Amino acid sequence: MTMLQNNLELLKKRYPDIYDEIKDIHVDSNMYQIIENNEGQKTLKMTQSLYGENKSHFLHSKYHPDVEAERFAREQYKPEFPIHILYGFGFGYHVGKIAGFLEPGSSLYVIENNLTVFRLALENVDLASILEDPRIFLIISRDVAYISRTVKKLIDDNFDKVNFITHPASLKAIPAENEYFKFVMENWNLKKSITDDYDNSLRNNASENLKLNSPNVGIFFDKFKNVPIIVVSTGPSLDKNIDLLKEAKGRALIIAAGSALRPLLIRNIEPDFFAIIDPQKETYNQINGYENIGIPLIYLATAASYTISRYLGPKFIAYYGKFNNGSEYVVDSGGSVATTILDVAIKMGGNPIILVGQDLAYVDGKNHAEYGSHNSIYSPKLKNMRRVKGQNGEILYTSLGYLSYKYWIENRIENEQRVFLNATEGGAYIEGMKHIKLRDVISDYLKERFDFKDKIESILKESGVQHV
Amino acid sequence: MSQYALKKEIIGTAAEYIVKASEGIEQIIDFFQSGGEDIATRMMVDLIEGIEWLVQAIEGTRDIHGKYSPDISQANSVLTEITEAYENMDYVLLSDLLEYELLPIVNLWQEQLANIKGVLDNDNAAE
Repeated sequence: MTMLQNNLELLKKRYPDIYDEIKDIHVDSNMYQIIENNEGQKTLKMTQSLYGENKSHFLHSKYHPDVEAERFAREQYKPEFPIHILYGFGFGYHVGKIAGFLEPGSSLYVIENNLTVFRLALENVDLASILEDPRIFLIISRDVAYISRTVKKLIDDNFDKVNFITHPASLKAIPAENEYFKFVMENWNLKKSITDDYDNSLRNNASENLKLNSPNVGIFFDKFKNVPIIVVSTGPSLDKNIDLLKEAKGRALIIAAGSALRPLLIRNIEPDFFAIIDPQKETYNQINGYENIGIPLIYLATAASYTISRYLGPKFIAYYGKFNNGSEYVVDSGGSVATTILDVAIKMGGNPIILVGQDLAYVDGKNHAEYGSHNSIYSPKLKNMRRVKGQNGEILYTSLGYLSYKYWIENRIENEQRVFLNATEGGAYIEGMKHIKLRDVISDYLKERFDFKDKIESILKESGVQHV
Repeated sequence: MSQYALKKEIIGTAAEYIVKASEGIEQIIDFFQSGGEDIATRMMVDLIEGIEWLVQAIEGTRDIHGKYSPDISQANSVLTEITEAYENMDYVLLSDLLEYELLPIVNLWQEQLANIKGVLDNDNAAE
C-alpha cells in the first residue's frame, strides 16, 4: 500500500466526512508546488491570486521543517490548558510536535479550511501517527459556517480551558472567498498577544478613574432620540470636509474623538462632546492647552487617568466589559475611540448617525488628518500592509487594527433600524452605510436647529448631577 | 578628524553593531517561528536598515581593511531575496533566509570586523 492509500484508509475509517470531501480533489500544480529538502522532508510553496497579484508563500521551512515545528510547538503549547485548538494543519509537522507535548487527558483539535493543502499533506507526508492518535481531532472542511459552529461549541463547553493556537502560514492559505473567517482567526492571534503589562495599565487607570466619581455617560442614553449625531474621527479625509462642520454645528450633536479636538478648535468649531479611550498618557497632548475649554468629556473607564484627571471640564465615565463597576449602563468599545463613540451615539438614540474622518485606511500615505496626532501623520508605505476595498471600488492599504474596526462597525449597525451615513470623503467602504458627501448630509438631513448646551444641562439637572 | 580616523571609528561602530545585528536576527527568527509575527515584522524594518548601513560602512572603509576584508557581494542577493519575502509576507521563507543564508554571512563579517578592528587598534598603539 502506498503512503497516500494508507493515509486515505485511516482517514476514511475515522473521519468519513472529511474523506468524502477530500477524495476527489484535483490539485492545480501551477498554484501548489512541493519542495523537498536533502533529508527527504517536504514542504509546500503555494501561490494565491490576491487583489489581482499572484503571491506565493511557504507553509513550512524548506531547510528544516521539523526544527521550525519544534520551536513553534514549544512556544505555543501551554500545559495548563487541557484543550488546544489549532488553526492550520499544513503538512502536520507542528501538529505532531504539539501532540508530543500533550499532557495526559488533554486533547488537540486541528482546524483546516484549505482542502487542497490537506489533500497534499495526505499525498506527501506519512500522517498515520496523527490520524490514529485518539487525542487529536480533525475539523477539516471548506464550510466555514460548520467550522465556526463546531469551534464555538468547543469554546462554550470548555470556557477558560482552551488554548487557541494559530499557525500563521496556514492563515494565509485560507481561500480568498473566506476573507472574514480569515480575519477572525488572525484577530484571535492578535488579541492573544496583548500583554500582561497592557492589562495592568488598564487596571491602574480604572482604579484611579473611579476615584474621580464622574457621572456615568449612561445618563444621556435615549435622550437624543432621532437627533442627528456626527462622530468626528481624525482619518486623513477629515481635512477635506472639516470646515463644513461649522455649518453642521447646532443642527447635529457633534461628538469628536479626542484626537479631533485640536483640529476642530483651531477652526473655531466646538464639538458638543469629545471622547478619550486610550490608556496611554500621551493622550494628554490632545487636551494640552484646552484643559479649561469646558466641553463635556466622555472617557472610557480604562482611559489614561493621567490625562483624565488633568481635564477640568465636565467628565462622564463609560464603563465596559469587565470594567463595568456593576453599572447597568455600559458601552461596547470596539477597540477604538470612534467605535466607542458610535456605540454611545446609538445608545443616545441618534438618527441619522453620521461618520466623518473615518477612513479606516491609509490615504495618500497618511494615517491621520493634520494636527490629529502627536506622531507623524505619514505612514511608510510597506508592501506587506493589508488591503481593503475603497468607497469607489479602489484598493487601499490598511492595517489589521483598522480592519477590525471596520468589521466591528458593520456588525454593530447591522440590526439597528436607523440611518447610518458615512460622510468620510475617502477611505474604506463600510457595509451597511450610505456613502454621501458632508455637504449633501447637511442639506438633506440636518434641517432642524437644536440648543444642545441647554439640552445637556437639563439632562444633567433631571438626573440630579451637578454641572461641574 | 582625518579620513583615516573617521573610517576607523566607523569600523569600530560596525564591529559593535554587528554583534547586536546577529542577536537581533536570532530573535527575529525566534519570533517568526514561534508565532510572534507582529513583533518580528516590526524588528525587520530596523534590521533591513541596519544591514544596509553595515554594507555601506564596510564598502566605504575597504581601503583600510587589510587582509580581513569582508566580501559583501554574497550578501546583496540574499538581501534582495529577504526584502522580497518580507514584501510578500512569506515569513516562513523569510526566517529560512535569515537563519540559513544571512546569519552565517553576518557571523563571518562579525569575526572579520573584529579582526580588522584589532589590527587597527594595534597599529595605533604602535604609533
